[in-house]
Amino acid sequence: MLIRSGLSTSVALAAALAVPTQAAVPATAPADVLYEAAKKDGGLDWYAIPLPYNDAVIREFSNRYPGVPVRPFYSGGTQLVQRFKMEKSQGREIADCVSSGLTEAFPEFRRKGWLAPLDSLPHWNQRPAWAKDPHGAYFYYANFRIVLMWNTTLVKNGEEPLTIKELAEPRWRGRVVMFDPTSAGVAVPLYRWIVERLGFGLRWLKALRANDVQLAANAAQMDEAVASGRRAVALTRDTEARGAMVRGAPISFRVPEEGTMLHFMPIAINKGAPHPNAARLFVDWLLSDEGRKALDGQNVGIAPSGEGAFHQSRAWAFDAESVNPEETKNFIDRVVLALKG
Amino acid sequence: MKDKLPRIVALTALVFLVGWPAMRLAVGTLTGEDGVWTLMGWREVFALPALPRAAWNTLLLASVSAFSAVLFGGAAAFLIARCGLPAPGLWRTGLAAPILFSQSVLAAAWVLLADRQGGLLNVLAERLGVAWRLNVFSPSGMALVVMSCVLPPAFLFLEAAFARMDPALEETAAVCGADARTILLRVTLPRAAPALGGASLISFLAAAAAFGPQAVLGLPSGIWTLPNLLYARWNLYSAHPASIAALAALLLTLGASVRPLLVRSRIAEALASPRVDAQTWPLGPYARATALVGLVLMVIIGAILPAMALLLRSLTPYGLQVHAPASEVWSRLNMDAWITVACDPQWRRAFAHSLGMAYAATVLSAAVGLALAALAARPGTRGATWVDAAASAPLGWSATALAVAISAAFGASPMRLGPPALMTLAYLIRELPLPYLAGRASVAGAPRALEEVALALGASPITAARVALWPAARPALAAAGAVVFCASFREIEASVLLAAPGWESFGASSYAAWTGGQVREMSAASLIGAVLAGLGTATILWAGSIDRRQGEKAC
Repeated sequence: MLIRSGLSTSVALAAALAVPTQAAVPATAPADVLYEAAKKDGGLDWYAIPLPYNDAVIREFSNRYPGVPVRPFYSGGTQLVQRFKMEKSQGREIADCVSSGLTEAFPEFRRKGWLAPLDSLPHWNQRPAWAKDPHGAYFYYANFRIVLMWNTTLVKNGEEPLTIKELAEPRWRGRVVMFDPTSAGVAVPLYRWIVERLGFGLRWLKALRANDVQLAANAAQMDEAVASGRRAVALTRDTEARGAMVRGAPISFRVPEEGTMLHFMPIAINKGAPHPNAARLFVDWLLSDEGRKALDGQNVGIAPSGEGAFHQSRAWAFDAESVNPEETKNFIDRVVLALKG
Repeated sequence: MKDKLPRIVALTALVFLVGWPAMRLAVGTLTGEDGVWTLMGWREVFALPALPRAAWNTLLLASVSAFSAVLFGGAAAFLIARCGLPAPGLWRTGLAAPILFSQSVLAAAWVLLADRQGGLLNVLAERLGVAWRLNVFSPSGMALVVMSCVLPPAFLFLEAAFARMDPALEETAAVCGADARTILLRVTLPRAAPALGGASLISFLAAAAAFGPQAVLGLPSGIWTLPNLLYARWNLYSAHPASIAALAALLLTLGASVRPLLVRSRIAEALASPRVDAQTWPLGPYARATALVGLVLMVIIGAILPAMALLLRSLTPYGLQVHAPASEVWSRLNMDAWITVACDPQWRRAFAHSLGMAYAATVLSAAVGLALAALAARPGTRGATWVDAAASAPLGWSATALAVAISAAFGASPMRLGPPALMTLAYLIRELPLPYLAGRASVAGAPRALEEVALALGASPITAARVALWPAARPALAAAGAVVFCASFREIEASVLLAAPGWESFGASSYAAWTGGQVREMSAASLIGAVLAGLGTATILWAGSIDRRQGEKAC
């Protein structure tokens, strides 16, 4: 079987040609027409980060539209953004849908004309304004709370961390794992929140470094480190913490006393998507109330419905439209210098 | 024209494989996002605060790891090749076995073993009441892992060189009354100097470019090296593309700048003669026991411990604590991860793709390497030095930097090759020096008379090479091909950047599983991959020995 597949691989090497782009059906086409066109597309390729939530998205969508397989390409948020940028700049179209925790990349993608408009999709209006790009190129299909997560075997009752600030204290020395700012998309808004919004400054990051913090490429790695007992505490998202608990890890988590940050997870359709109909069907389902209800059971973040939901949550969230790449670059460079030298 | 055709084809291949990516990368270092010429990329690279530290760390890490690898690998090679220890094949297999694992996987295995809090060895030490702890997330931990990655190739190279040493001089010195120490210092080591020098340089370059341990261990603990700095810059959304290209170009240039030393080390000559396997250094019982203990320790540290850590992790349920009582661990072990990997179409596709691409890279690199070796070794060939320089240049190249160059050269317009072609090219270019050097060693040792007679009788250069060079080069090329296959099959560094949905490779999937927290699946897949790599290597070595076996049978 493997040898036969290997031979077919070698034959395919000779061709190695890109899949031709399918024709997109009109935006106003009925749902069943779009579904048929999506089936002809043969599914879609989704650049996404390895979240338990995303596994649920794929599962639920596949239940609803079994003829349209979603092929995730899981990687770190910043890696996905860089990969997408490189492919676009080289004129290669591989991804149909792109999502990444690095939210500020999406306004840049839109400005470069790389994203297909979403505001013509039938269910665009079923999401509140705070969960959508004002220019109609992307929307936040999920959001997650930042929480303190700890291993209940290593951290006894009454000793669990209550605040983010204490993670730089000696009692947590060598026991904390945090996001690596060079590879995790969530790291950029998270460190903005800690450094700028909570006012801890870069000095706190230096103290964290001196406290022998370990940096994880992404949340899944962080969750593995804490679940297996290699580290005791992490500052992570609720989706990973819940995912670890569901899988039987001795994990507990709580919102820090400083409050919480909502990490918005955007999704967009590549303007040159090789499978445009499948991509539109997928994103429109995510926009719809039907899609949202199917994913309600994940019980993470706040429900992305209702204009007031975000304000009522009293959480802070990063506004991706408010910064430019140069400012982001300077900020990341300062954070990397403080945390990694 | 007919005579010149092979030369033109070989040189064209060289320009296409090495010159074109290097040129595209060089252009990329000077091109801004809007297409205008700029030096911004270089300015950004040299303004990086981490650059001096990364360069120093890389130099230190590569020096320490290479020195240790040559010291231990050389000692093991000498003991096995010259001292008549029992079961040499077993020791060779045990010491070379880590080559079946990707460097990132070996590094991950060492995290499972020697993480300061939850490493299995540390948990064991804690239970035994030992206060001392290993910490793999440290410069010395990283050096240990890099050393264990570069030791197998250094050992294989030195073992082959020691086995080819003519014992006549040593025997003469002994007859003249020289003691063992004098013979070792005045005869054996000077004669082994080219091989030791070559092995040191190869190990240094391999250690400097060893992305796997540097990423898995260096990035989480803030230990910058040049390859992991490049990877971090590549990942960094805000990094200017020209600065990524500039850093990659800097790495390739530094690697290539060490290469002339390699040519001067007369590495090819060390492997040119046939194996002698002279056991001229018999050991006494005490020395023999010490040597065997040393070899056992090396095999345990290099291969058995990492493999056991991966096996145990693959059987351990998610969330089962490393600190849990042993009875609980044993009662809860299961095969779920193995079943997942075996049944998951994505993993099966990844294995199949990697097998196909690795075989393709092996065949192509052997063909191109031998053609270039024949060209460079021919007396009076104009530009032979340039061929030599270009064909062995990728030896010092970081795979991450190479992937950036290949993506720019072949992934962009006008070629726009797909992921499988890009990955195969990356493997082919990265590993080209090995079959080239093996080819050069064979061609240098092959009798020229047969080729000259064939040419004088009117045979074409290709026919003459097939008749005269191919039989001589086949075993060495098979050995080099086996290493190329192995390295390509489990390659991670370039594959991570070049793989795409539907075109996963085994290495890229392993790394994705590691960073995605699926350590169990990664562990199971790595062990399956090691078995497949071993089988693939064995088939190539078998194919390389067909002529010899047929000849022996005929005799």
